[in-house]
Amino acid sequence: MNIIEVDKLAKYFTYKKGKPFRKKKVLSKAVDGVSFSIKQGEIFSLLGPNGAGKTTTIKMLATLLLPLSGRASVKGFDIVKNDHDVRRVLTAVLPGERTLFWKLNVRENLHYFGSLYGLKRSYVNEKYNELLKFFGIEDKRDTLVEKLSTGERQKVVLSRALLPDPEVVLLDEPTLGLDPVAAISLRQMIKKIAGKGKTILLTTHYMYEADELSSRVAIINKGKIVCLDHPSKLKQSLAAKKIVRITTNTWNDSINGRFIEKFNADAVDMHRRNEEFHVNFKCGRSLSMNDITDFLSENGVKASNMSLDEPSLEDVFIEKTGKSIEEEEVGSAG
Amino acid sequence: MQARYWLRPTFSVMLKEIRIVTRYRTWLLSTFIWPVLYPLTFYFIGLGLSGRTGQGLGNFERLANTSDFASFLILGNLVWMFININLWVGGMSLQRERLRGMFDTTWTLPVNKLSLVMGATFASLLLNFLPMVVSIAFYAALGVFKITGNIFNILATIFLIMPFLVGFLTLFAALTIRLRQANLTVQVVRSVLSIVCGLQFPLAILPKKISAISGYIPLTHFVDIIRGIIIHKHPLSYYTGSIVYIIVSGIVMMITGILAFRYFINNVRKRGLVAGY
Ligand SMILES: Nc1ncnc2c1ncn2[C@@H]1O[C@H](COP(=O)(O)OP(=O)(O)OP(=O)(O)O)[C@@H](O)[C@H]1O
Ligand SMILES: [Mg+2]
Repeated sequence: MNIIEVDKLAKYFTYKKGKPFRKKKVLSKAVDGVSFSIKQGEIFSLLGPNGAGKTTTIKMLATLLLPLSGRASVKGFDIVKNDHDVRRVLTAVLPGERTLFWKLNVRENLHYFGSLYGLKRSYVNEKYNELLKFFGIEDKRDTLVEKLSTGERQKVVLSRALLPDPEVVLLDEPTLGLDPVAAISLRQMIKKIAGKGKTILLTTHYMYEADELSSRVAIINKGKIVCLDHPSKLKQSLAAKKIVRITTNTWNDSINGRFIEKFNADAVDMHRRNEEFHVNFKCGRSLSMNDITDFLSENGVKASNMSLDEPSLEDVFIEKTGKSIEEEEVGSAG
Repeated sequence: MQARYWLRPTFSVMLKEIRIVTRYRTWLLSTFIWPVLYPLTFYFIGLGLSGRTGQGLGNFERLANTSDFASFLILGNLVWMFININLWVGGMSLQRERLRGMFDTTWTLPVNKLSLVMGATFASLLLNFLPMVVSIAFYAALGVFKITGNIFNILATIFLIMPFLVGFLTLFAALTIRLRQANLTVQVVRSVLSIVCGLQFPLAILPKKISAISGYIPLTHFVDIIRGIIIHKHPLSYYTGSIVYIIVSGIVMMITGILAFRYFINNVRKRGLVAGY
């Protein structure tokens, strides 16, 4: 059964750009007709670079934003018409550190939100103890939130989100700003939450996060979903291939042409960074490391780095969007 | 909407605001120091103009209809302080949530959004009570201000102005969702009210064109009644017209505030401004 249904959902923003008094209105198609559905108990990831439209999608589902067109429902409740019912079924964790009151302690925060969820005080009392234990922070009960570490704070935020025992949890970049160790422990927690039968929709721009956590991934770019499947299936589309990565400062079109011809390769991506070329090719599986080193020495190419890998989700992303995720981010930052 | 989505939440919001405000040390300043210091300037200005023996009081007496300039000014200033704190705590409640980064998250909860403003407004009314008491006690102890008059009538008048005040703060909170310059708006609103309602001087000195507006603002009537009860010992029945006006305009203001609030919530959901600063 699908608990979330999203059908051709779109949201455009207009904003003003340019010099003061000579500003022009610009239309930005933040979300441009996305469709997907999520089964009960599934972890579903929206993966995409900055500005792809992940947060905008989450905000529409969380009833913070009205869609321009299209429809979406959560447990059969329409996000526009039955927004109050939607808010009772799902909880959202939005990015940013300040989604708790820093001048209140953990217990006071959870009681406050419990009340705003419409929960009984006695229920909250029992539930928050259980949750703090679940996250291993029961000793922080009376600590002011301003005195917690970022990782602990994120666990309190998740406790807050799980307080009403929601069927759906939306997580917008849950590991943003956490150190690697805290991020790993948080990902464990997310898996455990899903183990309790909750449906989770999360956004991320870390490939490995989507890969590790989710049963299905939608790669989203410029407001559109470019592909959607199980992470291993997505990688399978490249399974017959291996990925060659070469970093060098001597590369040109003719060497490129020869490489493609000799190994029957597909150029996936080539870009320059810090005076060096980073070239990626998709090749047949029979190719060996020796073949490549031979080719490089024949052509007088000195490689500073070279690898032959199994395709990763990143390669799938490049294959589908024609760009690497970091490149997208550099491009959209300007 | 079921009561559990607004009744206890309103109370929780109130409790939360009181907790947070009192956890900052500046709270002591605004509760115990400011209410004593603020009216003092006005008292000394009054003293300067009237002279120590009151030889300059003739004009004031003619304009304000009383020679008790200290009570006149202190009462006006108390009302001004009351409005001022309420604007900051109640009217700015949503703006503050926004700056705290709590706006989006709170918006995704099933709670009735109006409880957020109401809770904060009630918190500010409660928090406001103490500074008023401190101020009155201080000036009474100095002998500057004589607490006389019917306490019941005073409380009844304060009660009657509540719908107007709550409605006004709701309207103001709704506006802050859209207007980013909320601080500036507070400055303008409180200055205009102070002048137009004659909080710190006799209304009679205002140019005709401005004092023509004064009568339309319930606050003018409110301060007039409070001064009347305390300084002239008038009974409430003396002010029937004003009281009816305060009640009617209070109801109108409540409805306006709630409608404006609804309108801005929907508007904001369309434009995606909820999160902005
Ligand atoms: N309120 C708004 N007004 C105008 N434009 C907006 C607004 N919110 C988002 N946008 C634009 O919509 C596009 C999508 O933004 P969104 O926040 O959904 O991206 P994202 O995928 O969450 O990115 P990130 O990884 O950086 O969080 C961006 O180009 C952004 O500038
Ligand atoms: Mg985002």
